[in-house]
Amino acid sequence: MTEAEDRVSCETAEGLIVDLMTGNLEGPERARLHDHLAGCPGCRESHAATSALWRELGRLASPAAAEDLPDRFTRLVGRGRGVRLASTPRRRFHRVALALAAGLLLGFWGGWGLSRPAGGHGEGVAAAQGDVGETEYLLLLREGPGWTIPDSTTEAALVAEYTAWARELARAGALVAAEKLVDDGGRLVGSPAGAARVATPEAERVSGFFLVRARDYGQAVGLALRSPHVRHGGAVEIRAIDHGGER
Amino acid sequence: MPVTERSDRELMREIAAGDERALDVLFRRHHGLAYAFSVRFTGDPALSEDITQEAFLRIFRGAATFDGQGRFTTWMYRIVRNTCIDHWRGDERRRRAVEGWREREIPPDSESSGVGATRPDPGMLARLEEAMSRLDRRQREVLVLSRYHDLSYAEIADVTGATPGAVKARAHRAMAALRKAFYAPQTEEAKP
Repeated sequence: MTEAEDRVSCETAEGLIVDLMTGNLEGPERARLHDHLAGCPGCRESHAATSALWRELGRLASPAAAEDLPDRFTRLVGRGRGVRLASTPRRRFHRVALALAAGLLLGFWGGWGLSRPAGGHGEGVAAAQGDVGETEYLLLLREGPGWTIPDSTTEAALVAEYTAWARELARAGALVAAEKLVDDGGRLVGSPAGAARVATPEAERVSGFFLVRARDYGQAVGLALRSPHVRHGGAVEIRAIDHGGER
Repeated sequence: MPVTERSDRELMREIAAGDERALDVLFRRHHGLAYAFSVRFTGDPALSEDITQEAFLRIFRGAATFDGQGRFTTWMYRIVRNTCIDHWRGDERRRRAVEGWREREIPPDSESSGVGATRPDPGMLARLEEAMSRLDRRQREVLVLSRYHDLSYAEIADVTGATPGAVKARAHRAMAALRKAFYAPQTEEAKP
């Protein structure tokens, strides 16, 4: 590299100053920047201003989590009972509960070797419904107008309800998959007013789904009726998966 | 060795095997970083409590995919960021995020940084918050991950899915934009 090529332009120096501030400038590049700064008053001024700004950025308050957040998380995953997320609106913590149920469910399955248990049915679902069938049904958990949670419901209790239902389904061998959906309402695409449009659905949003095995609609309805979602005013839409065979 | 003294990688192996106690230890160790990043990303402290918890549930579910090559925290930031984006898609939340940056309280006794630093001027810090809120989200996240979480360009690239070169370019543009937003009002005020 010639001496001319080795020279740093003021424009390049601006970028190198940022790299220096952020700890991403090493070795020869660092030396080239310092050489440039030594001979360029304008860039020295720029360096001083950027350094001051970087320093002040470090003074901005660091957001601190509530002291009890770890304890709340502990309760969420099942150790301890009975304290509600004080700052969380009810609708949102209902969703957290659903997410937790789905999360624990996968952990539960992991413990079972990602397979349905042979024999041993759960005491709830299977005992009430008899053996599950092979038809798959999609249970869409909707937030209907009656979507409320009683005042006495605590976060841990709600989580326990969802988790217990999910585990019942898993133990009975009825569960195929479950997921909570992102809380943004998703997108609705279509042409209800005559012109194709994309919108965010407002009414009866789907907050999650369970894919289950059942003998028929009757048994699938029985599974859905046991869900905390129905107990708390939500609606569950049940749709059979069409695999092309007869039901 | 007690579970609380195990390394992040050891805990992740145990979490992958379904150990909820290991998840609890990992949450207590790192939730502060995850929460702080989420607040700085979304500007919404209450939402960030949910995001932090949900991110660790995702960590629980995806523990088997952690390859143990990089730092756990880099992987964690990626999951927290994805969780933030999932929660942050609506226009309402975007508006709150910007306002959150503007409204966050500046404590009068913020720790000073660096030798010889003076007590921070609350008005100046408020102006800096305002300048940060004006940055494009991608530019802001690069500055946040670098300044407050000590990540290198390569690590930020890992978190954001961008190339290190793109991260570098964003950092340059972010600082230029921040300088402009921060210093410009003073210049205007100084005019007669």
